[in-house]
Amino acid sequence: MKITYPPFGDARIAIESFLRDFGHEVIPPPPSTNRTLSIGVKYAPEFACLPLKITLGNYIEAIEKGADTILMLGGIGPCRFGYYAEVQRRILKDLGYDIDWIVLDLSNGWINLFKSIEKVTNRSNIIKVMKVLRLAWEKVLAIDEIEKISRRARPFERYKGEVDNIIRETHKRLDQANNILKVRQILSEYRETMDEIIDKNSLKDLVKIGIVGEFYVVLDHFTNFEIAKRLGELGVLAENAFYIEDIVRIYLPLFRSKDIDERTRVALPYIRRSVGGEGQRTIAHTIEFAERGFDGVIHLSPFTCMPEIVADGVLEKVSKDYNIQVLTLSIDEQTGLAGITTRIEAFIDMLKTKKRRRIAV
Amino acid sequence: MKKFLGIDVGSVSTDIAIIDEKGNIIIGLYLRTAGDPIKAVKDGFFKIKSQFGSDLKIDGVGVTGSARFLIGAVVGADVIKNEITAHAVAGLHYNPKVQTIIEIGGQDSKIIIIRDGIVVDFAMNSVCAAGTGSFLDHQAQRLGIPIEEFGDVALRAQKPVRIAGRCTVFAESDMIHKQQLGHKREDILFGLCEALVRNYLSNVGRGKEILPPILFQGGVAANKGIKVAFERALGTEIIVPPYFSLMGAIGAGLLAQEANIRKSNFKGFDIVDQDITTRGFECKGCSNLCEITNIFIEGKLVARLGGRCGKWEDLEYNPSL
Repeated sequence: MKITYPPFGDARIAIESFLRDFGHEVIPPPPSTNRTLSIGVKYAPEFACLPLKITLGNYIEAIEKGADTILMLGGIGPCRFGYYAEVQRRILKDLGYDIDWIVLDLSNGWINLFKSIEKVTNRSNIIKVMKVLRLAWEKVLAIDEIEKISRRARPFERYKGEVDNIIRETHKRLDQANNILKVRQILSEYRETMDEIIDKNSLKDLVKIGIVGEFYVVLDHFTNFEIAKRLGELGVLAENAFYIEDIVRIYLPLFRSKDIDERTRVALPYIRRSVGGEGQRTIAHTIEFAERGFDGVIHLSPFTCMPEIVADGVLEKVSKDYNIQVLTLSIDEQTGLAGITTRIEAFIDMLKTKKRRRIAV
Repeated sequence: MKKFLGIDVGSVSTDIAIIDEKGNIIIGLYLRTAGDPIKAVKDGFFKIKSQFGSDLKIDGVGVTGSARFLIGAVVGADVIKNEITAHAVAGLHYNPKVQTIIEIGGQDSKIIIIRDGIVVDFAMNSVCAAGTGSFLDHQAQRLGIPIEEFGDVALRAQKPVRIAGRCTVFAESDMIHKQQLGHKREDILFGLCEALVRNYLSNVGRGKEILPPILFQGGVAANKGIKVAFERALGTEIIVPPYFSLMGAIGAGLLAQEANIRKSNFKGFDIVDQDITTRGFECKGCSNLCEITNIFIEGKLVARLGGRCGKWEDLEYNPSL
């Protein structure tokens, strides 16, 4: 069995080590490129959302490298995402690929779920399962921490690409780390290196932008045109509303934490019940950033994503009520980099001028 | 008196302005980009050179527009800024009390909301080119009217017809349909103006508080039909500044002035006689596969654009290609 998986952002490092530790031969999808996107766009329905298209391209590129099994989540909700596995399975079948799917489907009865889990864990005993899970989780936390710190460091880079070079090296070591202590050591070394770059006294003067929206677009660097990196290079402190840990806690019942519903509560005056995906959370996160005194919010939404379209309609009012600027970027395969760059630059120019004026007054 | 050069290289037109330190225009040029921004800028420089001679001293250069990075590298810009900021700066210079700027260019349209002299909100058209200059150009051509006369003809309308303006394709077929029903050309043209204004206000202007004074900038502001349609829809006066089509370039020049440059990077107007070439290649260094553009002046590499990681910006970096 040569297994592959849908990558998003840096989560691939954790997913890969997780599968490898259960003794699977893992064929990681090659990093997403325009070719990946073109393949996905060619075979996916036109009105499918962008993540479906990109991951479809990822699968096909992994199959070209020899993968014969795909691991994926599925089930009912949280939006069209629940159907991805089934839709993609049929598309690949129609294309003539003979692929096994392991779909962790929470709506298909406990027996089926248990069978899928058995396949993933390779019938390992419970101690082994816990150990592997623990290490993968530690890697998730480390990946998130690396990302969070990089946001503070990038505005102070001594040369363009400095932070990325350090991250690349750290990720490589993290991938090889085979125990928790090692992971923590790598992280603390990374923290020290970054501390030398970050100018702590100037941090508070930076324009602060919060990033909210649909989770795949927010977390996948290729899909969001490396927005965090671009903002950092323009001297902006960009913080996500959530990282990989939060997404795992939201969508995997095993890890679910109560704080999530608590955090969404502020959105209730605007959207009373879940509208699927991150729709309601997008509103909550925007309010959260406004209350924390951020200068602006960038809302990332995959074109045709229903929950984010709902959020987009409500954001206008939230933006007025909480006096926070929101820039919505709708992203799909037609989105041009030039348009995104112009909007981001103008948005930052505007926030910088406002901030200067506020300080002057 | 110090002089500043502003260049706005858009999809359809390339505008060049030289301003003095008070922001007065010394020369303003409006040229067609015609798919070759470098040639358009060279043509402009040639005109400036033949009027002022090549030793005209420039104290700062600002570049804006969709080709700003390329042209910025070619001419040696001191400031490279996005079009929204440039238009806002120029609008504010012309009328410090302005609260709304409507800008419609060749392929995009924007709205900029200003309060107390600073930009507080903006939007650009997101998905569709309906209502922009290229579309009007195309329709004028189809009806056999020179684009310069479009507005005057439209204003002769007595009973404007309603045209579906949501999408260029539907607008065009609807216009053909209305022609075939026997409606007058001017009624159709003004109907089109109204449709485009409706489309602009419900898409670009959605949710924005449009307060006077309102400036109308960009090439399409030449079209009186659109101006009047805006005035009727908004019920207030629309001001078209005298240099409406050059506002981006003027804004870029003003930004160069504000930047307080000690010594400009400007390469001079003599680049018109120089051989400027570009050569692109795909960097295979990582999975990003960046499209790198090399810019050569007289065969000498002067700039590289398009890399995300920064290594190509070092012109010495030259692995065996």
